[in-house]
Amino acid sequence: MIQVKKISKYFGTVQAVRDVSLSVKNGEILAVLGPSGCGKSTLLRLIAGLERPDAGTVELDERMVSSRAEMVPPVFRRLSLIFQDLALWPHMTVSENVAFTLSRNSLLRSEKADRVKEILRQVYLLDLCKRYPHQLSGGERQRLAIARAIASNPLYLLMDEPFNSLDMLLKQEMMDLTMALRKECQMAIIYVAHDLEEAAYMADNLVIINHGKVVWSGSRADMIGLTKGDFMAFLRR
Amino acid sequence: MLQCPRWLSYPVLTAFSLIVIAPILFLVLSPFWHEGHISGLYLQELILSTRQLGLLKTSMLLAGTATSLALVLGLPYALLVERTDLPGRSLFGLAYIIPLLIPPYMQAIVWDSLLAKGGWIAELLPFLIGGPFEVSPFWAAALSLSLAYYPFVTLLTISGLRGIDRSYEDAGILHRSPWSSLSRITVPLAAPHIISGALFVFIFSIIDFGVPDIFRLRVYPLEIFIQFSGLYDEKAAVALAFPLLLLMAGLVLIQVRCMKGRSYVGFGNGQRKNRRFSLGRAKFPALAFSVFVLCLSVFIPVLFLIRTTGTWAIFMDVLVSSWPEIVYSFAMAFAAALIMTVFAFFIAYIMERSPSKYRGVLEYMTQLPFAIPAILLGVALIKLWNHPVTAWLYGSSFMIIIGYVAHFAPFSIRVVLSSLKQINPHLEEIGHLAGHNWLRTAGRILVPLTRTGLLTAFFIGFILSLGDLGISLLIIPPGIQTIPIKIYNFMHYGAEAKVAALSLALLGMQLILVTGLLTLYHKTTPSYERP
Repeated sequence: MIQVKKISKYFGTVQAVRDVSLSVKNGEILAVLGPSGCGKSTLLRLIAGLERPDAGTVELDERMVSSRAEMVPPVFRRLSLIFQDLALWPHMTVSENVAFTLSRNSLLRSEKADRVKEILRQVYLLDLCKRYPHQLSGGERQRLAIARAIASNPLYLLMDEPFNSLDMLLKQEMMDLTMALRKECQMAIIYVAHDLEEAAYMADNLVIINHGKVVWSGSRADMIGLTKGDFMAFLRR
Repeated sequence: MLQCPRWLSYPVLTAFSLIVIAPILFLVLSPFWHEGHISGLYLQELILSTRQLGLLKTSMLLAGTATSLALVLGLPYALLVERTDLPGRSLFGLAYIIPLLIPPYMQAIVWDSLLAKGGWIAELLPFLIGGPFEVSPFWAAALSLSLAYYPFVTLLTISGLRGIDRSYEDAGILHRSPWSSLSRITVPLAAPHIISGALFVFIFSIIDFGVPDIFRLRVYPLEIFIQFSGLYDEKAAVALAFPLLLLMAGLVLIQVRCMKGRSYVGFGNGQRKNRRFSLGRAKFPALAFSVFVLCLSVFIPVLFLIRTTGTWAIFMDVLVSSWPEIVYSFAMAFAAALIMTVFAFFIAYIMERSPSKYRGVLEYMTQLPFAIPAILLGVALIKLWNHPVTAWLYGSSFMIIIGYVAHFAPFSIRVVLSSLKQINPHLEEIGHLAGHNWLRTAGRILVPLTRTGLLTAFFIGFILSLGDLGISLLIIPPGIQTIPIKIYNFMHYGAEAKVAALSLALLGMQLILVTGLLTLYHKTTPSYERP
């Protein structure tokens, strides 16, 4: 379970995140919605441990991992983050991109190779394992980013608008893949998006953020009655 | 994509060919041409003789050792300054530029005295090591070259590190330790820049004339100089250097390929500041290492020069008596750097906007001149320009400027080209669509956006020209001296105090100038360029 309690973050004099609180149970997807520059990505980076909060805490399974005074290094949080630009390492092949995330686990070399194969088969990239990221299509890159994120069996998955640049069909395919993985791995997923329909399709719960603050939160049931007009009204507050 | 207008590209390319490419062509064709006919007189010299093989081996060994030492000093220094929480990193980030202001022959003068019998360090080393220890001229030369050139490794590595998108490293530390992330992601991503920096050092070291001359090492540039100025046989000098020229041509090709299309710059989500790793307990050893590098390359040479100068009166006396040479050297370096920068802007633009099939050849041709030993380039310039038709030019100071431009323009072009590559071509296209002609679009859009690159190109061109010895020594008009030539002459007369005083004066003035330029640059940096 991911629990964020009254977290705040400043960059210079700009407050990017203000007193945000939220929680996600294992096997759940929480969508975070908001306009560009509202602090969604910073929130994910705070949870991942890539930024230190100025106030508030982050807890993973009731263990405090981030506060102003204390930070558990990201590598010990058992979480993965899919970046908006995917951040696939350009000097590593598809296999190496996945294998690099496994090396801290005490796996034998053969076990590691098997695990890489298994993951790549799951995302239909096994045949392309020797290619470099720049030799892949847009959809293949997204699948590699997902493969890399789930390879180390994380308990929590953070996704920062990962399917933004995809066409409708590919986006649907990726969303279905994510939902299947959630079911299979029972991960807690925080999914940052800026499209209400996308969020409604995938998420169990939703929070809307504007100017770094949570302006609305609710469950899938609450979301049903929410129109694009309502969404715009929240953003104007 | 827009292409360069012909009224611009033709004259610029013609001038570039005359100044930069013609000397290279002369060098390549000269051994095959004798008294107006194709001749095989020097052909046997082109094949690797025992003499050439020996020279090539010593030259490569010296350059290889200097490069290895430069990597040992420059690479960790760059990583510490750019990627860690090293205390005082802003200061260290500026201080490593100072060794660039100390020409290699000056480092050689200092280390020759310090490591020779009776020198401070030669006396100190046996105590530190606990036994007799003597540094050979080869190692002293390699050390001098590495201390003069390691900033190129640092500079290029820092540039490579700054180009890496932060998200690559963030993605790494989610799964691996900071050290793994640094060694498996950061360093490989900066590898083209690191290799390029190392190649710069290797090429600079193998073509250097001043350092091996001081340590009396028989390497290629020195032998070429002896062959030319001692025996007045320029064809034999060129033929002797042919294997070196081939090697250099190959290295430049690797260098160009190394950097080509491997920018490794991603499009992040506005995270402009790069990640810094905590040094933890390694903070003090890292600090000690950085101070040690600066001690070797800056503090020790400067202290030595101050001590050797002796008194303030000697310093002032040398300064006053050398004032005409100082003014002349600064004027020549300034003019050459200015011409180089303008040239670099146009050439880089032509390259960037050329069809891709020509771009590779153009890029290679523009980089080739810097691999030609300065002494050899000087020989080519003499033979090319010393004709009755061009006598007015040959006998003037313009020849010095042409020499500097011919030798150092590749650096300026490389720097400006990198800057131009960062600019989205659409920005220029919008200017044209708005009805502005090329000059106005270039002046209002391209020049302001490449401002940092242009200033850097000017700075590098100025410093390299000011410190040049190899070209100036051969093509300087009669009755005139540059500061490096005056230092070189003092050195051969054994006037140590004067050498030290003049070196100090040169260094001091460069420092003042660079500090002024940097201050001006920071004060006038527009907000969109600030991190």
